[in-house]
Amino acid sequence: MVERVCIYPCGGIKKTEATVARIAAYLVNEDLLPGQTMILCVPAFLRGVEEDLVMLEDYPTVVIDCHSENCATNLLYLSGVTPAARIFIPEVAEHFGISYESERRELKPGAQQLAQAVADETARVAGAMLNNEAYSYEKQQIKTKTYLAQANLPVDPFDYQKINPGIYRPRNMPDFFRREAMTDGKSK
Amino acid sequence: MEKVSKVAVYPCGGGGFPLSSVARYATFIITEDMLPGETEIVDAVRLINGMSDEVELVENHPTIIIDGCAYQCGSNLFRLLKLKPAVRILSTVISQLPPTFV
Repeated sequence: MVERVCIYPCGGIKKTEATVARIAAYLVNEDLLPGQTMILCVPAFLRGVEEDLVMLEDYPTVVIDCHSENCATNLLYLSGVTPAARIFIPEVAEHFGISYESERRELKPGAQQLAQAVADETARVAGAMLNNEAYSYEKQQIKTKTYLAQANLPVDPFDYQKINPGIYRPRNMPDFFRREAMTDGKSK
Repeated sequence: MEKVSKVAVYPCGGGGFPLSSVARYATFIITEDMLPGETEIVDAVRLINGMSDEVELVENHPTIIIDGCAYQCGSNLFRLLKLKPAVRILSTVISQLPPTFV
């Protein structure tokens, strides 16, 4: 069980799904789990703003990837931090049968519905971390790798395990849905 | 001197303050309504990840940075990447803050 969960929505701007990710993060942070979640601001994190560094190191992070380019996941990899879970928007859309418009400035009804579905899934994962007494999280330390903008990233840096449609967990991170105590603090 | 064919626009990209949404929204207005085809949005996360089209965009075209809040993270990312923007837009709200805060 943890006190708070960090939500990291994509941070991109070119795709509709990036806006979906951001709106979903606001829905989680303001409506679904207020006071129990924090949103990571990527530019602030890169600038070294203290609160963004602390939230990433001290609390489990749920990454919301908007596209198979996995930019959000990869930024954490570049930072030397392993996320606690990953939400993958295209799979959430497919699983719930949501089709959406390409407007990215303001979400149209389909994309708004998708944002709500992504928020619900994110809150389900974060809620499991917050309420599961068997769940534990070890603090991490940011170790920024120096090859920003160099495109030499591994395809799947965290060896994600799919645990539900659109929901992934890094192989070496604790299982948040598992209720019984874990002897080593982790579940393989 | 080569004529500029396109201008890149990099809006803050943050999520913590309303001004970052303002910066992002302004960029959509510029690139979709005012100067479509002549401007392109810089996606910071794709750039950090080294996507070749994003790197090419900022290396080969002048970039306008729109800083969203007093932390000036947009400008800072370019400093980290050793890139120089062509110009930086700083909102009136931010520019009225004491220099020590900015």
